[in-house]
Amino acid sequence: MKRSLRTTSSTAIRHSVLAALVAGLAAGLALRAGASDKSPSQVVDALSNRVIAVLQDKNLTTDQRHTQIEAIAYDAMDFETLSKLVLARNWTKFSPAQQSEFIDQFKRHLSITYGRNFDTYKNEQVQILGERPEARGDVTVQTKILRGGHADDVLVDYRLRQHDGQWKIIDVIIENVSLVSNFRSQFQDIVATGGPDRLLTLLKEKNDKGEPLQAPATPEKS
Amino acid sequence: MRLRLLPLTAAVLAAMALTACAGRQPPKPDYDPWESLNRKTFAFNETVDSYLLEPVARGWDFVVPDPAQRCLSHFFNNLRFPIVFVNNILQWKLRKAVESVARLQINTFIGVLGLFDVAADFGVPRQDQDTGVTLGVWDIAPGPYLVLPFLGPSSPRDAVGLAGDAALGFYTYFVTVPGLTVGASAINVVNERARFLDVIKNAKEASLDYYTFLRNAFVQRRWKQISGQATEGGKPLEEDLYNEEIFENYLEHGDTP
Repeated sequence: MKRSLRTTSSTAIRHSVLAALVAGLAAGLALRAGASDKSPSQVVDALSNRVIAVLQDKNLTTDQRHTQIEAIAYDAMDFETLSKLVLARNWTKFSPAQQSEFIDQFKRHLSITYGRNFDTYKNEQVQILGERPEARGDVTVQTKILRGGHADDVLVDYRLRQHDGQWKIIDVIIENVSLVSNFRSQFQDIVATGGPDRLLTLLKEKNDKGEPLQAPATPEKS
Repeated sequence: MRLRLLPLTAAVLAAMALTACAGRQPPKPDYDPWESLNRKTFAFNETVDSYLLEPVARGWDFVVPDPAQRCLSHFFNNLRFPIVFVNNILQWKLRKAVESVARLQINTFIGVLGLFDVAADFGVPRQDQDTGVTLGVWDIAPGPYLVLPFLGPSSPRDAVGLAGDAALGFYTYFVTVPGLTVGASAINVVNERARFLDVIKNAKEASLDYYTFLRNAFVQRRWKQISGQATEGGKPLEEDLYNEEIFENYLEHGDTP
């Protein structure tokens, strides 16, 4: 107390300038963070937490659950980049109309087929293991799905790319199997033999067949 | 012990003769010159699966509760100890070798004959290790994709690896009653199939071409296992996998793909 009383006005000014600077810097950082500059790990963490919250909500019907998870996933993923990567050099064989049709159908396909995995939720939790920088400025976030005993954990990596300041998921790698690589292999053959139209027809057929399964307790025809 | 290793040595030599050394190059996931034969074998395996294995596994899944299935899986995994241990030594992974001994002891004595994977909870995780991986780490290329009858996705190298695994397996040393070996293996296969009923069903429904889906998944996983053992973390399978511009470059150069 005594010392502060004795401080000269010049040091007091210096201190207040410093304080203002620090405050300004903090505010600036907070603003930047507020402008959705989430780190890749934070994006994946938020995604997992939101999905788990939906899965734990017992009041939702299967359909409501699917729609909510779908919205969360659409928010976190960059489907345009994902589609380009999956089609690779075939992308240019698609007309702009076919390209947007493909993005839509592929989105639906992922939503239907991966949505099913959530129907058997048994209180799994997600643990973020770390981040790894990749080529092209990408970042891979490594996670583990915990299923009770550690012997049965599942490793899931997410590759993220920054677009307009936002990190979005461009690949999901489950137990070392990349989704992009896997779909690319499958789609390559189809486009090579039947062209873009064949792939779009097949995807659409598959999606239309898969759709009724979303409703609860619809028996399978096969 | 030396005699026991003979089949393995023979297997390794056979593999070297079969495949050229390829300097641990990432394999191309779509390299499949034997596709027409592979597709036939694949169709055969699928038939066996849908008429025999899957229905039996469904029955098993109905009768045996999930925790018991998990325990059985851990039990059989614990019996893989000789395969894991010897391959760690062959790859000169001494720390991993010691860890596998620790796992055997912890899981056998504390984990009730291996029914519980206590070691994993203690921070000594399960190891994915087999003779095919060792051959890969030794720079032997896998060769073309190969679907084996009953056994599924493989390659000439990994087929030789399977023979090595069989030679190293627990049964070779300790079980002298042949019927017991067959019975135990059958239970193991049915139990594992039962644990993945939903996963496999979903994969079939999610894929436009299940054959390609499996081939790609197998090649990716195998490469990661081997490159991950050779170097920490491993390398990506395809360099251009995440390159958005690749197709534009192709057009610039006037190539028509």
